[in-house]
Order: sequence, then structure tokens, then C-alpha cells
Amino acid sequence: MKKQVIIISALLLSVSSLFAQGKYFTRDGEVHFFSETPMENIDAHNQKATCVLDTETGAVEFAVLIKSFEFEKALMEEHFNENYMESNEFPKATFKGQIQDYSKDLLASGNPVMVKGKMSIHGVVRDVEAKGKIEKEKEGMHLQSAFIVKPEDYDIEIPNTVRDNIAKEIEVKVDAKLKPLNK
Amino acid sequence: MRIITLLFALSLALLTSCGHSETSEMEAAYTMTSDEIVNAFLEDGDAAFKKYTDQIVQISGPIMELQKENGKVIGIKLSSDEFNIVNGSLQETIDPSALDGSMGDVTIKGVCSGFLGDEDSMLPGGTVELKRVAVVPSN
Repeated sequence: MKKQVIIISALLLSVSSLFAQGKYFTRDGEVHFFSETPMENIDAHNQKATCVLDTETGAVEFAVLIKSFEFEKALMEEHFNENYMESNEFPKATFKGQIQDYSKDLLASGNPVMVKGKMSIHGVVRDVEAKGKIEKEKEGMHLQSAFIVKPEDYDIEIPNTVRDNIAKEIEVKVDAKLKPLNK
Repeated sequence: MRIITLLFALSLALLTSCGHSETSEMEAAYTMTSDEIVNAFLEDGDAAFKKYTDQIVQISGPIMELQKENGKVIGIKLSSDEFNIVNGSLQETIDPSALDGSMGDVTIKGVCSGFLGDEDSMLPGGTVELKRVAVVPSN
């Protein structure tokens, strides 16, 4: 009996210690965006997003360098940086938020979560909400989300000549596998 | 007039369909170690951003981590410090065995995208990011 209590206690301790580690992070998060219009589809990806999740509080952070987005066509990447995102002036996009109705059980369940916070793109900060999913995995946490960004909400001006080539609503997908932050 | 318009349209179509240059065939504007470029951004971020961003930089340093997908290397992190690193995305994936002879140190060349780090962030340190990276063969 005493032995069973010890084993159960050890198991409970090992499970709780996973969450007790606090923060999880990655510097290799993936962010894709996709613009679909009858004129053309534009697909870009960034595989260097940083993401941090604090499992004690449910706080979440994302950050990407705008210049780290890669496009298939060189000219498209140049226009994205110079004409639309003005990435020399506004080099990064960030999100800082909080998982709603957070509890550690929520992470263990793998159920969808709602995240609320402040998104900063092109120097404009807006309150946003996004649905997501956070699953506990063997080596950490897997975080996924998809949401819509409207360029006009962030004062991103699209010239008339290419207005029909760029969607008014851009679909953004985030996928990040986080590992424990040991510091 | 029609011919000129047609030629203009064709030139434009050709120009917009162009891919990226091969980094391995391009000359680096700057050559330095991973610690040197990270320190440059940490010491004066604005000056380093103006100097290195959009430039081809050649960086040498210890491999901290290889990012893999389907058994191939898609990214390389260089650093002797766990939290201040150079993080590069490869232009072409490579087999991990291609780095077997590196003895833990490697030289890479890529387009600098800038520095990602924030004192207010929960994540300590910062990252110099490179895209379209090529591994420079050791002589």
C-alpha cells in the first residue's frame, strides 16, 4: 500500500512538474499568410517567429520580423517590404495576450482556446481576439491558430494599381512547437 | 504603339515572375562571427539594422541547433550563448550528414532580416535572423 502511494505521488509529481516549469518557447514558429483574389494568389511564410507561453498565467507572446517573410517571387517580397509594410520603419509585428478562462487543465485537455490581446503591425496596435489550440506534447506544447488580418485596420495602404491583386482580408496561420524555457 | 505596350507587358510579366538569386553564388558584404553580429545589434540596434539588414552576411560560429523537417536540415542556429543567437533559414534543404565534418563550427551566408529581441518580452536575449541561407563549404 505504501509503495502504491509513493508510485502514485511520483506520477502526479511528474505530470504537475511539466506545467510547473512555467514558460515554453520557440524561435522557429511558422507564420503563413495567404491572400486570394481573382487576379492572383499571394502566399508568404516566416519560419522564425518567436513565441512564448507562460503556463502559470496563460500569457502568450508572438513576434516576427517582417523582413523574414519569404515570397516565391523576389519582386513581390520587395513590394511587400518597401511599399506596403514599410519594414525599415516598422521592422516587426508582435502579439501579446492572454488565454481566456485560463487554467492548466485547459492545456492538458487540448480543447480550443480563445486568446485576447494586443496586435502590433505596421506601427498600429489593435485589440484582437483569435481562436487557437494548444496541445501538450511529449517534448513541450503545440500551439496553432488562424485568424484574419485586414490591411486597412493597420493603415497599410495598397496602391490603386495593385488593389485588385491583394485581398481585403488576409488569412494568417500560426503553428509553433514550444519547448521548456530553462532560465 | 501596340507593340510597345505588348513589350512592356511582357517585360513586366517576366520581371514579376523572377525568383530569388542563389545566395551561394553571391558575394558577402560583411564577414564576421555569430557573437560579433549579435553584439553589434545588442550594442546599437539602429546602427546595426541600417548596416546589415538586406545585406548578404557571412557568419561563422558554433552550431547550437539544427532545425529539421522530414530528415532534412531547413534551418541552422549559431551561438555560444543559449539566448543570443543567429538563426538562419536555408535556401535549399541539406542532408544533416553534409555538416558531419564541421566539428561543431560552420560558416553560413544569408540575407540579414534584422534583430528580434525585446526587453519587455518573456523571452530573454535576441536573435539575428538570416533568410535564404547557404552553408559555405570549408576549405
